[in-house]
Amino acid sequence: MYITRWLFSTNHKDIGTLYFIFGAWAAMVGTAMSLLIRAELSQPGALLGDDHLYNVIVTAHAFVMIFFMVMPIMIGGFGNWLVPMMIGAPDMAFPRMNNMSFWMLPPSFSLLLASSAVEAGVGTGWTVYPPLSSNIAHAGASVDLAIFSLHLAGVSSILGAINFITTIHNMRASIEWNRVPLFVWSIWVTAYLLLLSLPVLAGAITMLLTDRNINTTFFDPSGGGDPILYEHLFWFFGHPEVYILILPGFGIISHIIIHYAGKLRSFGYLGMTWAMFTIGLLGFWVWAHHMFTVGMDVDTRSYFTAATMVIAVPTGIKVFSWLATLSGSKQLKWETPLLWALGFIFLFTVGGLTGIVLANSSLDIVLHDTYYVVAHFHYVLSMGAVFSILAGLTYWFPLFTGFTLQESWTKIHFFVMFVGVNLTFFPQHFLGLAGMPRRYSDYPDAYTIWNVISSLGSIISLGSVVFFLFILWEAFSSQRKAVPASHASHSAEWLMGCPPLFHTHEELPFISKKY
Amino acid sequence: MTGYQPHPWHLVEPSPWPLVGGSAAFTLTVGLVMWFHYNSISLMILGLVMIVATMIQWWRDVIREATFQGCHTSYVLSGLRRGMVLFIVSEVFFFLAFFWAFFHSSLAPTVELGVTWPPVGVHPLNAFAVPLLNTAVLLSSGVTVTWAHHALMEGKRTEAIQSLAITVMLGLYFTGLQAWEYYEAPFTIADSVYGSTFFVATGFHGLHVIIGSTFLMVCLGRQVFYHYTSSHHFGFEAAAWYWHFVDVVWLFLYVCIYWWGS
Amino acid sequence: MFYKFNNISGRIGAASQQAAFRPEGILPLTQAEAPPLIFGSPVKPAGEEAVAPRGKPAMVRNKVPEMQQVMQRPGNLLFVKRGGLDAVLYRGTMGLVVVGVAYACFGLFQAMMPKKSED
Repeated sequence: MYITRWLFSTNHKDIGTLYFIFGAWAAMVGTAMSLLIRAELSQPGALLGDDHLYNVIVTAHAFVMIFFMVMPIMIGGFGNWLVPMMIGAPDMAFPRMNNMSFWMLPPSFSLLLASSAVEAGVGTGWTVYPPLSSNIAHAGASVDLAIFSLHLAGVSSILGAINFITTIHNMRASIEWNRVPLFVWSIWVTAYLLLLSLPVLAGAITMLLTDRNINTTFFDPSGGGDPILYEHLFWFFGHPEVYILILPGFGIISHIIIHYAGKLRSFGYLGMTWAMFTIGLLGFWVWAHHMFTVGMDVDTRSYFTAATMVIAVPTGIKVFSWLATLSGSKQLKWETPLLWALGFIFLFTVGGLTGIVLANSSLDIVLHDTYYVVAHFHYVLSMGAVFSILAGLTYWFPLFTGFTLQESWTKIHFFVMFVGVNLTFFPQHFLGLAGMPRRYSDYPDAYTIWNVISSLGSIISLGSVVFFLFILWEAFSSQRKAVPASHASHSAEWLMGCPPLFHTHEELPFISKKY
Repeated sequence: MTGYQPHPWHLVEPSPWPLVGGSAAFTLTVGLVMWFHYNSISLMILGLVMIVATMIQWWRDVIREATFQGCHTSYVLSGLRRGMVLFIVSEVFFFLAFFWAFFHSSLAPTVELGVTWPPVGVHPLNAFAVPLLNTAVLLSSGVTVTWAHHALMEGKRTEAIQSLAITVMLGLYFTGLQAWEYYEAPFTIADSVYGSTFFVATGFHGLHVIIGSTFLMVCLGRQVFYHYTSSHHFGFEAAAWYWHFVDVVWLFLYVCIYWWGS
Repeated sequence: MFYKFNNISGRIGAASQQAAFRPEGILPLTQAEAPPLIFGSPVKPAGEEAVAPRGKPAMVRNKVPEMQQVMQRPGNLLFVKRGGLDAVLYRGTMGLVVVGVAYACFGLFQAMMPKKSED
């Protein structure tokens, strides 16, 4: 019975739970790697004693966090659990394919971990640029295993994207398009980005695979190929990918803000949805801002600078709409999800602003491949994406499990994490401005002080992660039953009890015309 | 299948095939690595067998749900239609990568190629010989598959079988002609980025032709076994859409790579 | 049991399900009359004409109705609905899965353990 329920599942809630468990496990792997990175950089000189090994760890950290932590938790976990319940559907459109999306991930993860362990491992960074990733610099099976890992993760995400888009289009009970909850919209945009960008990555890494193994020369100048081609193809995928990582977080934050503001819908609902469409659409037309230093001409660079800066407009619409939703609320309850959401808005904005700095090709010439970039994308990811995941987890935990988290402990967890990540990543702006490059295992003594502080912050973050594990364990062992009334909400997922039955919306809901 | 269901959707029963499919993908990919680096193909073949076993039994179950259990209501069908369209869209973007590679390499040929396209020393295939025949073959198969669709909708069993059979034969004829062209080609996949883009782009197209032909063959079998009705034959429609997609990709390949590229 | 926050007493008290979940209350629905059912144009099985095409007996017998009987019987899960052959195929495939995954893991394990060269 357990085999049929958990291995052969066709239930969106069970599959969502599987995604959460998988994502949590990957999060621990990725966190461990990040601690290794900070340990190596905690003082000048070598710790691991192998520079290539350091790069292997950096690469695996990125892959694990992107493909096996953030995406499975946000899209697989929250998306699977919430989208059908929010739109009044009894399950996803293709429940069996939904399970295949999940079961592609453990094989993909195994291939990735194996890629770090065969030969010398993949030390290319997550971009896997040739010629570093070609068979001269990376002989042996490691890069091929990483490529296949990406193929499987891509298949998983494309199938998931088809499933989510079809579900949202086809199975909204009687919800008009202009009443679709913002989280559902965010998953919808994300799914389209996945559907259109991942096949291009699949093509690019397939060409890399044939370059490595069957004598093609797509990216090899000796046969008339061009490594820059790979960069174009990769970033045509890679830029939408970074929006894939954050858009579901936007949706989660919107729901939490609306709930704690005690309102029925967001300020500027239409603006919020159109901002997400705009971000999704523009995400496909700015890819070359990741390649400002490859020698493109000035016209091209000014186009990509301008197009990139335009994205600040819809992002600003979202940030100000969240603030406007909060404003005027008379009874803000300072519960943990709200703390995470506010932390998200503040720190994501910091990351967004450094993004605008980096969008300028003239500045990027200086800052490209420095710790300024590392600080930027960790502000939007490990404080944007991860904060929104933790906001969502603390908010919907009673719905998913039927139990409650210890409120004061989750607040302590938030503050420790807040201090930890800021201490880790804010000094990296200074390191970057001072010229410290990414993906090196050592640095001159001049960079010591901020690196020490950064590593100290990472230890604090680790402490908060361990504390969060304890909080989860405590919630599951104390089994405090959730009281649904404390979560009376604007949104339909709470209407079916905590936790809901195995199947919900078996009788389709009817939404009245008046609101 | 008994009892009252107050919604039009299809809640699929638990199924082992997703897990089997994931394991098959794992076996196949590790098998490919073993083939590339350790010169052993046994694991790859095992992976392929597992993939085929998954596909056969998964789709067998879909046929059971559709034709024998009647789970595919008009609402479920509309979902399946969207799903198939989205899948084809993602395939289009997969081919976009190879066309991007082709134009990136051919529009500004490098010094190593002799600053010319086709590169110095590469003698491309004559676009107006077999490739033109191939174009005619695929376009004709597009006509016959439409004929089959109309025959199906009008309940003309024999005509549907005949036209579908002709479509399948045209598909196989195309594959045969391509195989012959590959055999005859005076350049290889290793002959500069010309050979790389040519063989990888047309090779993936050929793979899709084989997949599409197989899909149509299954539809032919189902038609022979009375699975389709005049109003309920989505399996066939999906195959026809897929076939048209393969056809359109060929037109682009023909115009860009065979004709303009030579 | 459902609960609701009482704004006057400041306590959580019992409430009906409807009041608990929608603070603003549920608006009365106007009872709409069900639209008349529309049935599609009569379905022609694409085999009807051809059970005996042009007077000749059909080469292939239409087994769809029988299969519908078999597949709509309650009991086994879909992938082993027909019993015997299905079960054999299922078990065989699961055997392949075990062998394939084990073999693949073994291969990866071997690749991870570099061999020391003899010389």
